[in-house]
Amino acid sequence: MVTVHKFVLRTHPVMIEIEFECRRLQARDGESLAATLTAHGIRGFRTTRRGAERGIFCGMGVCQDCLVEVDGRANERACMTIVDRPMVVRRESFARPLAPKSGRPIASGEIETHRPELLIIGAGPGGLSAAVSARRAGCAVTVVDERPHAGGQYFKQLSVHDAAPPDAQHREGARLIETARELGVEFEERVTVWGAFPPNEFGAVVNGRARRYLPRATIIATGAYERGWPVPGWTLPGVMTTGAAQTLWRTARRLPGRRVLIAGNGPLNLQLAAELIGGGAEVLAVVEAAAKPGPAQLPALLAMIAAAPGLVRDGLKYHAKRRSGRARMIYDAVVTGIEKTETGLRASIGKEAFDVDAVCLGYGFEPANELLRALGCTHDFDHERRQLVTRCDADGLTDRAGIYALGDCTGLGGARVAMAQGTLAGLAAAETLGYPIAGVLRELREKALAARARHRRFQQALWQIHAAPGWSAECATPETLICRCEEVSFAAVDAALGEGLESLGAVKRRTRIGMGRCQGRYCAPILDALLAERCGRPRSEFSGMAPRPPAKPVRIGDLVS
Amino acid sequence: MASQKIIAVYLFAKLTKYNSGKAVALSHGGIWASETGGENPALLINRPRPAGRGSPPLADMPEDPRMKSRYSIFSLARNALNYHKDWERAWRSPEPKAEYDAVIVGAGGHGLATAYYLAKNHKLTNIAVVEKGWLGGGNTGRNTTIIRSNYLQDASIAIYELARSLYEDLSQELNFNVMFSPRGLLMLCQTEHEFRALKRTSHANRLAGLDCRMITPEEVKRLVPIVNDDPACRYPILGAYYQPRGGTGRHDAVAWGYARGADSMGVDIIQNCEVTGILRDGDRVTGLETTRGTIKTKKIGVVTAGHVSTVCQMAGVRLPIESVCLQALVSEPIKPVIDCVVMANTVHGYISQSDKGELVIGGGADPYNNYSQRGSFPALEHTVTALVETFPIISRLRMLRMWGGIVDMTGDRSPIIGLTPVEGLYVNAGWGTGGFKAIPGSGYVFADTIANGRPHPIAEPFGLHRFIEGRLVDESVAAAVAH
Ligand SMILES: Cc1cc2nc3c(=O)[nH]c(=O)nc-3n(C[C@H](O)[C@H](O)[C@H](O)COP(=O)(O)OP(=O)(O)OC[C@H]3O[C@@H](n4cnc5c(N)ncnc54)[C@H](O)[C@@H]3O)c2cc1C
Ligand code: FES
Repeated sequence: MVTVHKFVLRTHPVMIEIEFECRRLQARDGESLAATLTAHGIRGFRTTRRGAERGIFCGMGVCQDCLVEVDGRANERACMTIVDRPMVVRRESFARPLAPKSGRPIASGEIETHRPELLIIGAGPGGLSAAVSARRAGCAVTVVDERPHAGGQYFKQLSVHDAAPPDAQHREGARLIETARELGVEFEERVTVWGAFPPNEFGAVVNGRARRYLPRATIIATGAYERGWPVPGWTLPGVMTTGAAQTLWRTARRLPGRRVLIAGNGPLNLQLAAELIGGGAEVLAVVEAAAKPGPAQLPALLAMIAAAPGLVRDGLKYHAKRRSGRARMIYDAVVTGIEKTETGLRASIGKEAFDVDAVCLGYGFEPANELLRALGCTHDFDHERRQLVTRCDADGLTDRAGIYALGDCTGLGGARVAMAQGTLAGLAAAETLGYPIAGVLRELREKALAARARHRRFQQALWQIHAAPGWSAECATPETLICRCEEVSFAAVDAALGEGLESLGAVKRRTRIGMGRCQGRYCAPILDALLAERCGRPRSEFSGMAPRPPAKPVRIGDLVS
Repeated sequence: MASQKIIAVYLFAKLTKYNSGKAVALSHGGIWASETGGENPALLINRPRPAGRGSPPLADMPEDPRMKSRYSIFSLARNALNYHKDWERAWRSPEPKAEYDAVIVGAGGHGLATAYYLAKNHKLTNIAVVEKGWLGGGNTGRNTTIIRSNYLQDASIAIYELARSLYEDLSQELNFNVMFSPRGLLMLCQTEHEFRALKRTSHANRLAGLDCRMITPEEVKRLVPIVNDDPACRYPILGAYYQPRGGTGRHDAVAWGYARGADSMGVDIIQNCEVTGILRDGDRVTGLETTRGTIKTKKIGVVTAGHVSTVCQMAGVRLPIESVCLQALVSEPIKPVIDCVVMANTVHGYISQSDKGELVIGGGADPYNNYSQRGSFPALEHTVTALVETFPIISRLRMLRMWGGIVDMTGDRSPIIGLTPVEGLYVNAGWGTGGFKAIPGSGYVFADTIANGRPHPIAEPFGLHRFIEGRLVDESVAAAVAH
């Protein structure tokens, strides 16, 4: 059952008392554990093998840095754990002891198997739009998502009902979810798809139980996650991605800190600044890697206005809000280092230092294409955007029969492009499954085609204005960790490259880079870029890390029970 | 000592029985390939063993003048201060020459060890190892690193025990810590039938002089506290076969150690060089076509594991080998819970704990032929269901990584080492699901075989001829989960 958000403003939010390391904390019913802890000033959630503290980083269940023990269950992600009952939470440490046990085997029998007609993985704007259009054509649709609420990144919904009311973006998302529900789309939440097996089989875990999906056709809309940006101090608690901070605010109305610095590349950072200022935070500066737009960018700006005037207006509003909050805009600069101080963090931008509670890093996205790659779909490396792009036809059909892909997991395009692609892929999948596309549906397709073209033009112009160099070795010091999970420093990687190792796999085996819980999501693209530069060869589908299950770490008992 | 005796007794029997003609010639310089002045591995076995388990840290290793540069605590410290800026390259990246005396195809453990012993024992240094990807990237870097020698047939015990005993001193030999850890190996008996079969193996092994014994369920529980000792479960523990000096090693380090050693003696290791054709003049090989050009040579050793059939087919040689995907997985790290290696053949899986605290879990092979390195869902499901029952602790741990490797299976589950119908084409393959443990021994005898153009006595029973004569070395029972 999808959670339907009734937009009633309760005067008193429902509070739940939880225990954290013998402290009693007041949590808002429905917020994430990460939000509760952050709101109480708790930054370090766990310690690593080397004894370093870690806390929330990605805020979306990918980095695995926010692990805590919940009611005796080890290594639960605080950002994906919803506080819906009183719970006892503890800090997690590296390699905990585990007592042996004997006894009758846990129930083992056939794994529960679902055979949906059309399976959609990912309930973001892309997946939701695909669900709506396929259902309109008459197809039976099941949408699964790891999160407790549909909406994905862009349309993530408020999960607490207090303080500030939902905004226009929340409401647009809620309408889309409602439409899908009314049409009879089946929603399955908290479904973690951990593996994809050719030709069209998926392994998932739902509330600690194994499930297998054998759909007739599949649409993959798994979105994206923020790109790693290794600078000194980027693993400190309190340093998080822009997305993580936005998730705290947009789902739980919690601030990442009182005083915040936002650094990165692209308009999302500006939106976050506006939102946090609106929420009462003091944003010291928004640091943008791209140069300040000048007259040379005028044609691009005009193209953006022509393609999507509404979005340009939103951008101007964000700037106005930023100014009203007295947040500086610093162009053509990147964070050079973050240190821990007695009271919080000190972030340096060249010679200038900022004392803050939280630093948000938003240096672009990496497509979450692990399921697509596991299925064997062909990808091309886009050198301009520095990412893999799924090879699809005009409707989103990959080169594997019955597998469609859309949205950010196929290459970054933003929510509007994802929605248009969703409509097209949903219709195409329905048509292949035997549902004719005629009349209004044909019009829908025409409209989606036009919208996709328009928003692609917008995106192209947008990124022309925000063009900035990618991460380079100069951003790191020898001690800077490239691999967060296995704590592999730049020096160690450098040494391996110096010894003559020329492939990602060899460096991985030598240093353990990419062997940790996040599955190499943050370090592998960085290492791939380094290798390409050092060895003078282009990046490609095969130069990076090979796809391998599990897409997310999954409890072994949950694979079969 | 025991190992030396086993191998010597076996060889004596072999030499007098089958190779009486050759035995004289061989015995002149000793049986250990010493025509070319190589070191006698039996002497290696006699070297004092390091105290405690596993190998000593790098700093304790004796000086060896043969090595061009040595890893020592000083170089480690110096490089740490320099931020590792001036590490010497571990091996060169040479361009392929136009011609070599011999070319080994495949830079996995077996190929690299072969090159190492060719250079060291047979003074053949104008040789190359060609590899389509990067060295150690195949099954050598994908296996679960179990080292044991408790096979059923004498011929198998001889080669696996030669390998295991070479492992004991490999870190010193290569001046590279391969982290050999003879931590003890158990094979659980979970059915009456299995108990009897393993008892038979144990008898055979003890007759051959191997250090092993059967142990009781109580001893099993003491050695492996995480095992499910509930007598009412589906596969109760009835006892186990125990080889105290079986264990594990570090797979990558074995490849790197041999690569570094071979390179330092002048062997060209050529990575990113895929063989696309084998050149023949009538019934003999004359060279190789590769993605980096044509290489002339009169001797080719094909050591490409799961891809051996495809490479040999380029010379028109068909092998009785099937390729399947075998998979393994690793859990999140926990505090030490198991300090030996446990194989549970009935439930078809096995488990050990890495020095990082991860449980390394190996499972079954896909039940159909394929070249996928990813593994299938049903095979994983099968492994996990069974293992969770025998080791309940793992159900609470997360799986962090899972991978597969393409393994080369023969009908009798024994390797193929030796000559082929094409002159100059040698093959070393069929190690299937359990060849990591054999790397030093396999490289040792294969080098001798290539250098002398006839099978080394220990390799002799593993020739292709056995599939014509029906003289199989049947290990399908003892191999069970053949890792
Ligand atoms: C914080 C943030 C703010 C953004 N703001 C803007 C903006 O203002 N304007 C704009 O145009 N774009 C914005 N973007 C980009 C925009 O969100 C995306 O372009 C858009 O959401 C893409 O839609 P999607 O459906 O492809 O992916 P998503 O919205 O990311 O949805 C993918 C869904 O798949 C689920 N999923 C992934 N893997 C699995 C799995 N293995 N098992 C189960 N479920 C899985 C995820 O939980 C997620 O819900 C923003 C992105 C982020 C991260
Ligand atoms: S912050 Fe929870 S997984 Fe990244």
